[in-house]
Amino acid sequence: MVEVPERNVKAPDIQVRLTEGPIESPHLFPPADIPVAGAVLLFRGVVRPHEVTVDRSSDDGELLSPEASIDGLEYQVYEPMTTRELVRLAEQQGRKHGVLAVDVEHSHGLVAGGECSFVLQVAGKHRGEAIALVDEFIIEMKRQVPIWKVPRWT
Amino acid sequence: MSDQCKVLVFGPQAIQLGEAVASVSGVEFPIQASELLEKLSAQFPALQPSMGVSRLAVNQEYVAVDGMIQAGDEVALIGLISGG
Repeated sequence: MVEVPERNVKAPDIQVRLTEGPIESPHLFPPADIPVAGAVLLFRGVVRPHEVTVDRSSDDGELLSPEASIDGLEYQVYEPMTTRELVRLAEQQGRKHGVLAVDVEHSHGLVAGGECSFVLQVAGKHRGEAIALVDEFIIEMKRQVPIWKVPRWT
Repeated sequence: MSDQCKVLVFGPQAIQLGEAVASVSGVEFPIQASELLEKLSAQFPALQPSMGVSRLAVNQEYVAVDGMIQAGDEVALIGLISGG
């Protein structure tokens, strides 16, 4: 008999917010009314101090252009669509992976190199579903959510 | 009678275009999203390299290629997105 993984049947708790500039400290997580989380993950996206200067890469992934120093990245959003798409994605991913809570925070405006522009926190009963959600959420965010970044060159 | 359709442009595409709004001419409303994308590409060559990874949003919701756009709709080009 195939064992079916335990899934959370209750809708996950979803929190999404946009912050101007860098994210100084992660939002308090998980919510107090989620007492059964056996795994709590925090992912921080940090602006690298260098970016490729023109085209990122060739079709086979070979780096074509040298990297150059940047002061930071200028993030642009399109509200309210950006928040709505983040909520939609968090709900979809939360249900798919059966986690208890998802908290998303993303910057808009200038974020300097070394500063945090994105925080994703996930609480699940077990680590597997929470870890899986983090990677898939970020991949889908880069496909679906209207957030742009433009390097501010040094 | 043909009209203009203003399309909001963001991020790297706005830099490539040199503007945050692309005014597409020769539009007859209602227009299918795929047809507007073709006109956008033809009238703004700077956007051509990234049109393959671009979609339209109408009134802040993604629209299918066969979706219809009415006069007065808020239209945005969503391409080269890169959150994180």
